[in-house]
Amino acid sequence: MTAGTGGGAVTAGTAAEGRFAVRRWSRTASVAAAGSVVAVAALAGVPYYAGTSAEQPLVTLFCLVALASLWNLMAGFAGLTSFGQQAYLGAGAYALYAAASMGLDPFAAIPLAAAAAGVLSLPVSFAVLRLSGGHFAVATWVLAEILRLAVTLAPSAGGNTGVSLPGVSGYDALLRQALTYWWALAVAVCSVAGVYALARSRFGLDARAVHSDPVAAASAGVAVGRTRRWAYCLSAFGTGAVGAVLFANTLYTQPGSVFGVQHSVAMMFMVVIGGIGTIEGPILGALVFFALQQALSGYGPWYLVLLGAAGIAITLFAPRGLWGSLAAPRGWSLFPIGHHISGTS
Amino acid sequence: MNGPSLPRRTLLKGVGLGALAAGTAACGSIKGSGDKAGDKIVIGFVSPQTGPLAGFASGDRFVVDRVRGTAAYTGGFAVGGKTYDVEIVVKDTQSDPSRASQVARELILRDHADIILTSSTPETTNPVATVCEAQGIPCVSTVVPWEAWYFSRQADPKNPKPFTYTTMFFFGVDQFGGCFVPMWERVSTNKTVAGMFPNDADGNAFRDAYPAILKKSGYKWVDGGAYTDGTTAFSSMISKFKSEECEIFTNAPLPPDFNTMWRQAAQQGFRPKLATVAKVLLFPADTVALGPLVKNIATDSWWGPYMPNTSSLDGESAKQLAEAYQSASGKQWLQTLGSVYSLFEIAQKAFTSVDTPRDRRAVATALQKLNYSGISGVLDFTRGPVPGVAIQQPVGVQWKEGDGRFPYEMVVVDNSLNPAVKIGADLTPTNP
Amino acid sequence: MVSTGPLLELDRVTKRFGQVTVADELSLTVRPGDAVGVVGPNGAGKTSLFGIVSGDLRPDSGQVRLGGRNVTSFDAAVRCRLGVGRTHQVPRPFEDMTVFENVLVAAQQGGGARGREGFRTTARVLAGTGLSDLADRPAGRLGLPHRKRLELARALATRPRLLLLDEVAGGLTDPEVAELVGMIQAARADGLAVVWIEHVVRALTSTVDRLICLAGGRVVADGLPADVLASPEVKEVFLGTGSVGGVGGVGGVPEGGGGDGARA
Ligand SMILES: Nc1ncnc2c1ncn2[C@@H]1O[C@H](COP(=O)(O)OP(=O)(O)OP(=O)(O)O)[C@@H](O)[C@H]1O
Ligand SMILES: [Mg+2]
Repeated sequence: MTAGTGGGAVTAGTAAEGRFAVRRWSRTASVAAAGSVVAVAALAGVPYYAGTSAEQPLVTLFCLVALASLWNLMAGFAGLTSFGQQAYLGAGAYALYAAASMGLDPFAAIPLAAAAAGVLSLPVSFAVLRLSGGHFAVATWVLAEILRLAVTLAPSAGGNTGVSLPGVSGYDALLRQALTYWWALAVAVCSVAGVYALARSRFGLDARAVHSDPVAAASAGVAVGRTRRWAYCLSAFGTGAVGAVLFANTLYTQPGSVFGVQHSVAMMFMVVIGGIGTIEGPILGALVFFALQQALSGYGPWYLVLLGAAGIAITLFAPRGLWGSLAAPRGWSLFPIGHHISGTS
Repeated sequence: MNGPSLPRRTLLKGVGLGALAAGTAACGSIKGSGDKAGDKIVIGFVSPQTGPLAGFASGDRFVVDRVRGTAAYTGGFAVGGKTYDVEIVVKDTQSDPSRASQVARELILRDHADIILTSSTPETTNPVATVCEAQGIPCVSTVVPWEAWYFSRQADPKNPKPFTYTTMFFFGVDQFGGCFVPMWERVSTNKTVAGMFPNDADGNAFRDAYPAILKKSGYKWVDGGAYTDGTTAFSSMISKFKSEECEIFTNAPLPPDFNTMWRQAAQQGFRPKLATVAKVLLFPADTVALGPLVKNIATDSWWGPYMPNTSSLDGESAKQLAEAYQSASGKQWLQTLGSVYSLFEIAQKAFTSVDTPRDRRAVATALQKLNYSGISGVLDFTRGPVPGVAIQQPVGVQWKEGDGRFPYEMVVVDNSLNPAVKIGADLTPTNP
Repeated sequence: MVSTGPLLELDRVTKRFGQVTVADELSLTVRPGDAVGVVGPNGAGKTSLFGIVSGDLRPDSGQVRLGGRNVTSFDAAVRCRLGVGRTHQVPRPFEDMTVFENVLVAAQQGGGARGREGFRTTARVLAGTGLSDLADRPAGRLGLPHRKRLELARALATRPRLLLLDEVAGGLTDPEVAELVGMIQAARADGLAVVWIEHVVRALTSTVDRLICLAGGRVVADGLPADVLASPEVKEVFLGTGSVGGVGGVGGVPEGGGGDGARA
């Protein structure tokens, strides 16, 4: 959708109508893109040169990056502040359980689990997208709770005690962990790259318009409902993949924790701290959240208090998030999504 | 660029590389977490020390310190002619199964644990055992009904496969029946049993198992209905029990739900002659909420100072261990003291019977073959209902008023399953 | 574009908000290329009429037809793509987006312009509305006159067959109004029909060839501007409300008394 607009400037209009050079790319963006490719390649090699002790924390980090980016797709671009994404985290995990119980290889079944979450989100979207703002947020949360109860009550889903991932005992432990690591990396990269591509596309512009003013967006011809639905369902799809990867990593899942609202709180924390509505923000937010988690986890129950305090401090001193406050005044953009105009009549 | 052949060749090469990476070659070159140097054996211990399940683990720190102080542990383990220092790393699950899985992985990857011991409820033991089985790390679990530990970790519970690295000791539904039915026999009733079982893993397991046990012994079964955990209104259940004239009561609920239900039962005049509860009132702290209403409620006990057992580490008796805990903490003894202590006895037994502690397969095999007597009595892993499971024999106890130091204490009233334990008092009807 | 039948037909449309009737069995026809002015006191139902036409409001009864097709159940986005472009009385820019992006959305979605075509349309519309110099500015930082122009630009970028203008001249200075009238007249050259709500009657009468007076959700008068302004019913309506200046002056109807809520 951005064909021909990706590299350099595009001239639009004639001299009589006003000349514009529309810029969607920059030297910084090229450097950032190249750097990202190198970084991803380096990360892909971690199982070969760093080993499992490096893989484990990175799996967590990758899942956080993916979750933050996916939540940002909804909240930052389409303006849907959901508090119920844990529904899809759980859907992905339990779909993986179902697939693996039927004898499918758990790693091959991860895309299936993601698809299951995406499919589930479609009928759900018709119910929750009728609502807006706080009502929407509460409805999504309630829905996640309903799903949690349904899983708890479902026979053969292990009840509140949870279930182990079947079908992994055939794997060598090192290979299993490396596969989990690669899946986590793939899901993170696809989430960030996918959200980036969407944000740069026509869909991204529509979503930002819908976020800003749905009535005006409709007047401009934007299919408001469809735009929101895509954002919601794609986010659910990706979140389902994360749920499946997390399950493959922990090997154990339980409704009480996978459907817990703390996941939504974490997603919101990362996005708001990092900078909502940007590509860089959620990544930075995930890094900060991960670092805080690692640094503060030794403080036991104080961990949450300290995390909250850090969150409040950052929102007070950097209301647009760390990236927003850092980059916007200086005009920085590693992953540009807008249209910049240079040259006039 | 010379024609379309180049892209195709490149593509094939790419696919080949991908297959190579994912295939057998990957197995060989993927790095592990690094080999451990030194002459140290690391024992990981995982239990719910904070959060809703903390009651189970309130004595764990004490037991770990006590074990660290035994000669067997301070002097190190002699394995294959070499003496290894022993380090115990304790992890808290915060009562969260996901965290349990996470700390188990930390123990394996960061602390290089050679064995992982875990205790208290499936929410703790199952994630830990799952990780250990997948990672190939020996693991011993306890304080979890063996059925919940064994079947719910199976890919196909109808066609279960024994585990290689994970073992456990405790008991199961059969022992609950074997413990409760003799107590029922000793109170003259109309043989009608009221069952309060929630719609959760434990509740449903009991609901499935009880009717058969009851029928065999000639009792009539009245199911109060599968309620949701956290329910606060039990009137309809209670009136059902009343109209069916139930004189015996049994259950397997969450502790707060039982407190609510038992108070409402007292108010609404449901006074069964004998209450034998499972899963609740296991620990002294649980009795505080109900006060006098706990009097003469019966339950099962798998460990206590009344057990005629001694430590395989240093010969300390069960009574001494309980008293040491009471004087160190000022709190009343609890059953998990013995269970957690035995985990460390088992670890010591297993390591000292192999050639090298790094041979995980050998350690796991030693666990499966273990048969010893320690502070939990005889634990025989070779003759359980399934491989790797050792069954304990609980006794029937009643909560009776204490001798002044603590308001209520457990007194043995039935030893049908474990005659070696001395009876402390007569069985008294809960409601005369 | 070339159709012989009516472009817009409202057929006995009724819309109520509780006790307030904003459209009362209202019927109206606009033909391709028409330029219709709409006047009426505050609360007459003018903006609501636009909402009913654009799809932002669902009528309680009656039908809306566009080019002969019943569009009553279509939402605003679909009607926009079918050729209805509207401005909002209180401007509603996408504040976090640049002026260029604001118009680009409309060109892409409402106007169906893809890729470079979208850029070209946007550039042309921005030039035509005098916003070229502000193209890179976030719309949230625009003042009221420019916000009004942006409303117009966005509506034009959807390439409408029917352009609904809701008090685009309200709050503007005389030279600004003159400029705006020029833009609207230039747009009309493409053959689109314009319906224009305005309290600034001088601006209206210079452009429209037909004037409608609304009050209480009803058409009070409909005809040539001079006739409508002179009609006793219209005078009565404006005298009756007293909320907007008296009847008289050039057009006989008040100037700039609009309920323009936007204060940038
Ligand atoms: N969404 C709504 N809910 C309730 N009442 C409404 C709504 N929209 C408009 N109204 C009421 O309907 C009446 C007509 O409003 P409308 O905006 O159509 O008037 P108008 O003719 O455009 O007035 P103005 O000249 O002030 O712009 C007013 O009394 C207004 O308060
Ligand atoms: Mg109005």
